[in-house]
Amino acid sequence: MKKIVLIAILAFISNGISAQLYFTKTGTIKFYSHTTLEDIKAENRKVVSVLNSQTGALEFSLLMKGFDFTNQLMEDHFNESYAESDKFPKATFKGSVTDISKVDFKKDGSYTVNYAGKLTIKDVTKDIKGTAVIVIKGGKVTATTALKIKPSDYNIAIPATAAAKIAEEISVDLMMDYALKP
Amino acid sequence: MKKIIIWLLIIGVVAGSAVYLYLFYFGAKHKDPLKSATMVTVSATELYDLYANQEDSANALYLGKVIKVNGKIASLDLKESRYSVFYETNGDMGTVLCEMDSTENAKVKVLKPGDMVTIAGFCNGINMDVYLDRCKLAE
Repeated sequence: MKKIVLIAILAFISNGISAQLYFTKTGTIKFYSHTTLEDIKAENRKVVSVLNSQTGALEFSLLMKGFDFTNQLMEDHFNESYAESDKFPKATFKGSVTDISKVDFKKDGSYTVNYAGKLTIKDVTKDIKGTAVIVIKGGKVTATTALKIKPSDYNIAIPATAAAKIAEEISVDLMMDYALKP
Repeated sequence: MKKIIIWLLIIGVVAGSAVYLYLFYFGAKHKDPLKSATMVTVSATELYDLYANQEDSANALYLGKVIKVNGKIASLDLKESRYSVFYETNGDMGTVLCEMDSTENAKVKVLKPGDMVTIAGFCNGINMDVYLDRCKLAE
């Protein structure tokens, strides 16, 4: 069943036989919360993402328990109290690079592009948009972007006792290291 | 004399709090999978098949828990000083992947595809691959 769903997703994204799919299972998402009381950092190095170089369709998904914190207690609080990772194990993004035509995937270079789509965390879906930089070098494609996320937008309740230690807006950095899908 | 005792008490409370925060919060070390009391052993093939076909049931059994996975190594990858071990399974688009704890680097370095290994780690669920992190070689 899982295979059928994955094949269906890839087929949907490919949207035609001439499209080229760039794929990674080792994308990185880092988040960072800064307050005067405490800095909190975490990293997930196993983000799965697909980018269609023709249509610009873009998706990524990640496991919430895959976030690696420098401190075990912070990780436990994140998974148990905030992200509720047992109940909501994944976060996903489905959208597109809206001006993908400006990227020449056959030529080395750096391109600033716009993206828009729906980010789902804890079953709450919000529209997000931003700019990303796509770098083509020797056939490899790297995409980076940075965005801000408000925990309260995604039903992540911060108790009053911890509110001073967690920023109202979390900085999120994404880096996807794509390779052409054979 | 009374003032001195009060100041000594205040200093004691502050110092005690600082030591507590250092030891149990900021210095809280990551859990060691090999020291887990509740560890189940499963083959990489069984683990992947269960996740690929019944994700919810697999999560109920394994998500967030320490599991020992045994099987044959399909490939190894080294990225940013961390090894990942990929098992041979029946999956077309995914497999079982163990991101090794960096303290295991010397042991993992000598492994090669085809080797049979048992690895313990924390199960994070499936996202194409079944992903275990903070893994250590169990045998």
